[in-house]
Amino acid sequence: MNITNLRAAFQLLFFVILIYGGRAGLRLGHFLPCFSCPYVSGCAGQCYLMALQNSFWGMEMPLAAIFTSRGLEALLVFTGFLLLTLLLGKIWCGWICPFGTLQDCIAAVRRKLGIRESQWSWVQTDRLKPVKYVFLALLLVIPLFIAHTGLHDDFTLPFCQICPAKPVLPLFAGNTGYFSVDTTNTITTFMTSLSMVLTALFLVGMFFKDRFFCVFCPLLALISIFDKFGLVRFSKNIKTCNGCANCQRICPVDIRSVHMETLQQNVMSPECLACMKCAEACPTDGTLSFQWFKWTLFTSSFAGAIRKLAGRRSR
Amino acid sequence: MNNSLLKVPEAKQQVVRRKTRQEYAAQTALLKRRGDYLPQYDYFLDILSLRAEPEKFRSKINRPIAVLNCLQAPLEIFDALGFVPYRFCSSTVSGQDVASSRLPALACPVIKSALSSFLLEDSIESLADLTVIAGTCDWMVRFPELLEEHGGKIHFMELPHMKESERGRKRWIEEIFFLEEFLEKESGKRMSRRNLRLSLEKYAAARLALRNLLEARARREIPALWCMIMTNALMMGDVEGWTRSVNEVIREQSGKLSCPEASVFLAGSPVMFPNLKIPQLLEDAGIHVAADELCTSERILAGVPLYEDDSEFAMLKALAEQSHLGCSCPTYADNERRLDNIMATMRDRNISGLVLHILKGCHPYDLCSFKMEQVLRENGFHFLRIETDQSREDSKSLLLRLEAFSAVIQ
Repeated sequence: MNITNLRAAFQLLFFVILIYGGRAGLRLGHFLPCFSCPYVSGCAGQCYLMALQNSFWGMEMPLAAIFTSRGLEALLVFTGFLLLTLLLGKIWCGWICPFGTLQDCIAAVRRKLGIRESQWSWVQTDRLKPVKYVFLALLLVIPLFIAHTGLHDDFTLPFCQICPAKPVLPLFAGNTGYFSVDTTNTITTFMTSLSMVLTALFLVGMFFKDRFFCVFCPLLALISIFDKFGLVRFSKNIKTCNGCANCQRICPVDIRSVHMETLQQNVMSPECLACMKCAEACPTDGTLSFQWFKWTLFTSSFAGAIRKLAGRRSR
Repeated sequence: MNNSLLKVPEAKQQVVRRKTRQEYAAQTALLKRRGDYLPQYDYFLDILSLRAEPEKFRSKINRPIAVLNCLQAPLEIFDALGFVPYRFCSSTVSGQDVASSRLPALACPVIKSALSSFLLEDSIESLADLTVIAGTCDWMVRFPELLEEHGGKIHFMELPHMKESERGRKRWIEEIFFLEEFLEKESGKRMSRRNLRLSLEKYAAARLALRNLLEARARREIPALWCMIMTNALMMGDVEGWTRSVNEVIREQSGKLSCPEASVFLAGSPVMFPNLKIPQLLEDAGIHVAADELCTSERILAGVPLYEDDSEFAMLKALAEQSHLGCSCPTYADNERRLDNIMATMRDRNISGLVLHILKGCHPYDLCSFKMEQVLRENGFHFLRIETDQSREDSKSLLLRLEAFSAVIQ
């Protein structure tokens, strides 16, 4: 099975469903573990990050408020997110997320042009790893500051305000309105200007580096907290790995722990997107495999890897 | 140094040439008399025999020849720039005394044989357009110095012996780019993405054929000796012809069991045509080599250098990492995966014993033999260490040991 083509088909399908599905009456809720942006008019479901920021906003006594209708709603939404995360884990990132799909399309253009991907050193890659957790912490903390310290309301949904998906994904629904600076007051001017700058930087970054945004994605950080409990597993046969590093070279986010691991079978790292490209590139039979519950989704094979190399001309 | 003093006298050269041709002819005749000989093997025997007739090789190839010592210099780069990559590892005994006076008494036989070829005036090595040497072992590090009198264009590649570190990897990628630069300069051509991609595809077909060949050998459809001859022929550079011919043999032998049941894993120093002493002795002892890790056999085109971008950088990086990280040569300092991989292959192919072949003077393999024996025995595998050279003098005693080992593994 050619996992690259299969994944591309899934990505395209979910992109269409999530961006346009709402127009056909599809309502998937506002707890999706992917960047299905609520600012896209007619989207089929909404990214959980918005609900997460909203669920803290206005709760002056979070513990007591949990038994109010608002608290129960927040809990219900979180339960929905948790169930979806446990069910499909990182597959949301690698196979479903529309913003991930967009990043893959931008990178595909670069590849076709024969422009090399930007190379980061191991130190640079390691230094960037905590950034997504900082974003996650900020998007949780800022709403609390609004509720408890009187921080201005215009900081509501702080991450959504600067998220590059907000101006970019609505373009597919014909909405260019978020590509602008809101000069209502100093805060809105600052936040929308910051959004424009970050969007421009991310777009450039996404062209020169595969899945550039995912390195900083707070949703990935949140999903990865539940990796250990999810049904999706990523394992390695450490005895058969020959250390060729195909997995690291092909990985869109340059994960090297899969290649370097020599002790543990579980190689699902917080950065992994479950795109399965590493398993497809691994030339040793059965060394890398993705499982869902007790079933194997994909396992590495020499035949698969050599087919991928030999078949490039026809791609 | 006065080169004329080091020059091998013409009379001596003629004797060596004659003996070398005889050595090749005798081995070829012996192989053609075997009961399992197939006409499809002729391609491999013919191309390997060209080593003894350099002029014929030159006229047949009709492209610039780059001789190289090791698979760590990726063949695809040579091919993409129009060179025929020819591996100069040699195992003829006829000419070894030519080099003996310039080397220590216990020098590696491969070095002796290869240096002899360079010292002869009309060898492929001497007729080649350039020489590329990767500094794998200490012998190879000194080899460019030994070739000073030979002259010619020599490019030395500094091989980082730590491969699991970022600095080791970066260093090797740099070396691969230096190699590209050198080859571009010598060929007068610029590397094109298209040519490099085509070469990668050409070698991908060879990698697949090699894999199928090794699987057929593991299924006992193709005798290990013939398999070794076939893989050796890949060192002569005609990759497309090689791929076609290997596929023909696999088709012909499909489903026909022709090897003994007692199987071993052969590890250690390289085995090269025409000196097939070790595989011949193993066969005589009733042992089939179902898997090996020789750089002239199973490892000759190991792995799959996959890349994502269609950029030149991505392709070269893939080749660099494949030849460096994907190689289990014991010259590396951090090579912990090697033993695990060997044991996994042995379990996978139902092999209970390993024969470690050490050429006297091949120190990297020699040094790792102690740990290898300990780990294999701890894991319930049988182990036999053979230390020999390329002469036939110890054949009888080796055969006795191998026969005893055969009884043990059965």
